[in-house]
Amino acid sequence: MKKRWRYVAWAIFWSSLDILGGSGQVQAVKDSSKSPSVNQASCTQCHDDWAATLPAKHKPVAQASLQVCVQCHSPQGWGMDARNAFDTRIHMAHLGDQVGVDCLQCHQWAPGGPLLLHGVGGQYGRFTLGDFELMREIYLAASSSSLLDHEHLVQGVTCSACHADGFFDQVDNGICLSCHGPMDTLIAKTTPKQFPDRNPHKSHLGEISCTVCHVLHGQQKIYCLECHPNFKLRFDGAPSLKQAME
Amino acid sequence: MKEKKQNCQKNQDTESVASSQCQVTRRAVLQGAVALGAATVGGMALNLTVAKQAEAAERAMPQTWDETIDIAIIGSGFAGLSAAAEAADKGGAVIIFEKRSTYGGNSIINGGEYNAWDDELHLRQQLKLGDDSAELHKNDTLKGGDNYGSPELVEILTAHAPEALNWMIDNGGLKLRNILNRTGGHTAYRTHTCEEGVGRGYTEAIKKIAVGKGAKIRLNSTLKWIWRKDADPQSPVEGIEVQTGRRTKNIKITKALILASGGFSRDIKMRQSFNPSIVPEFNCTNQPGATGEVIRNAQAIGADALQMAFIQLYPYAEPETGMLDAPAVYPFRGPGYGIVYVNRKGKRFVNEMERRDVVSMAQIKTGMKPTYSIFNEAMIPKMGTMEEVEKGLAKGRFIRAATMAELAKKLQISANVLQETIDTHNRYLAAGKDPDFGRQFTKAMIPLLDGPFYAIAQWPAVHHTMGGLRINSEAQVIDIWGNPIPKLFAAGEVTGGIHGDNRLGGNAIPDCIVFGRIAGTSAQKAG
Repeated sequence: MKKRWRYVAWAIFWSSLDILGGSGQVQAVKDSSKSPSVNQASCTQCHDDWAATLPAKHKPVAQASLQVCVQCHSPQGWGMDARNAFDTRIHMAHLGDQVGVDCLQCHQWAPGGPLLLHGVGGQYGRFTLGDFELMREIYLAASSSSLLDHEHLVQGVTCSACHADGFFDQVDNGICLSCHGPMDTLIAKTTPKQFPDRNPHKSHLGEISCTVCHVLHGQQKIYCLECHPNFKLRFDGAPSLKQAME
Repeated sequence: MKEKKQNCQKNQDTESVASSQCQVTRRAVLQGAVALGAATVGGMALNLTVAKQAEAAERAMPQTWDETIDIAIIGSGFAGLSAAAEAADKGGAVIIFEKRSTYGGNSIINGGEYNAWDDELHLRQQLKLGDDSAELHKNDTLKGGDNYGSPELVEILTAHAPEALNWMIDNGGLKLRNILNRTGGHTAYRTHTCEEGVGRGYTEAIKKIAVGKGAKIRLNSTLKWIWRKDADPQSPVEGIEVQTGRRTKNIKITKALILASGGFSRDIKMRQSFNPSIVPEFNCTNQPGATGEVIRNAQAIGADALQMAFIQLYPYAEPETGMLDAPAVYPFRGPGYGIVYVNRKGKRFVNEMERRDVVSMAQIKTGMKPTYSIFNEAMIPKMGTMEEVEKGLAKGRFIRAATMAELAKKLQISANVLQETIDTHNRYLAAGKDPDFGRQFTKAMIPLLDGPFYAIAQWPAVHHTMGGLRINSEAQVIDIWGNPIPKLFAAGEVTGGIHGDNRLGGNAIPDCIVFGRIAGTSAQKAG
């Protein structure tokens, strides 16, 4: 509970910079060479009151710059957060609801090239323009929406909890079941009284991926209905956003 | 002609085509088409038609590849899984690309019927159901398709059907029901049913073999393009473009590409373009992914397709939705045990031993939807299981009554007419002769004398596309000039020319698995 909204404190509206338009399109991922020079990626460029920006219990830092941050918050690449959720929180704060900072404020990138951090060594994979767009959409949805990614985040389940091996790592059912399982319990919960074999968790398709229906970064869908439109199936029991916030 | 020659020369200047002479050969015509269509030359992918037209639009070969694999397989049904199982046998990266978010395609919801003239359990001999042979199976299959099917390919299908079945039993843990059916168009009891009573029984068995050998399945991955430089007979398939989510990758293929993407029964536009009589109003038994883009992609690099107008209706689908659920297989399995089909007036309208196309057309000609299959409890263990029938009853799919009169009442059919129809059929069965429709009676058939009696509603729905890519006995895809396209193979419903104008029920699974295995073995030898 206490950690839940801590990242929100990081979300400061940077009106002077390129922001994400209401349409959800990426407006400005530019070639690094043309972006405002932030070679040292100093946080104070935008955060005038640096002391107020840092979480209250954060130990003092020598310099408000990316180089200093990553000394403790080691970047995992692809927005991962295996160590301490810093990657998720920093991206959430800068890309999330109402905040749309140009990616190239912190990152260095040219079309076809690798993703770098200003003034920090190491590469973070080959990025396309579409990847930036995807990151923005995911963080926007995750920061404030009725989608399941948001529900997971507010419960403290950050990106790497599911995507352990990288951004495009497909999520294994075992990961979902480590919290939501065991499968037998789910099967029992969703066995229809009238037609017991019309059970979405135990269907004629055998074992299928949880995310076929429980889409995290988009609207959930009931796959069964694609072939059985007359089935009376609906999502039920998942905590609503409101419940999670209370 | 002159223009083609010029284009040919133009191409020769800019492309390192292996040809030394520039005559108006088929190669030159193709090159001409490239230049005519694209008005540009050099480094371009093949373009057989007008530029910017759907899948045949001009595409430049990729400059770099995102990934390299040995063997790529498109589709994760019977054929794709079988190909993967054989292809992965000798190692190497073998990856199945499946566009849906679950594996199995149409195969996993298929009716689960497998024709083979023998099996390692020797069910036919055990159940004392007469004789059969590869030759008989072959002849029935060819005749059932009005001899449009390739005798060479049909011979391969029928000869290898038993060993493919045994392969799944021995290596994949497939279990068969202790029943054997004689189904429409067949002259022998050769239709096997797996324990699950749906295609999943086979897909799980083959998946187990394939995955056990190291093949991988990538879901949500759609083939967008096949990369081939040109249509020179020596020019191989070089790679594929695959979309996963919103990422598109170019994947280089070192050994082979196997197309096993199934038929196009759910592709209404494509159906219509080849066979306008298969109107959009028909229901369909297939899953939504059964569309024809892979056939078009293969055609765009020169592959030949044939018999595209031959599209099968399944006569016994659930009338409202077109679903082929477990109950919908009973009318198909029943003819060999004496099941009777009646129209809404309670009268027979066809020889129940007939092929699917004949039964479907006869139903449509009744002018009254639906028609019904009538059977009794004694037939149930021969065709399926009581447990399955009870489930179907609970869902309202089967209707049960103690007497024929009561059954007629539940079906809103005149009791007198239905009783008369059944009595007459019983008499014909006893006499061994059907003067009305010429039914071929056998000793295994049961007269409808004792209740309880059962009925199920049935109506035709689009089910299988017999046409598709042209292959040879090695499962190589043949181009429009008659040459195999190097490194390109196909198997299963995506291919054409095997079943003729009507596929006999139960022949699809052996077709997919026999030719899938051949494609996998051929792919290993390719490259």
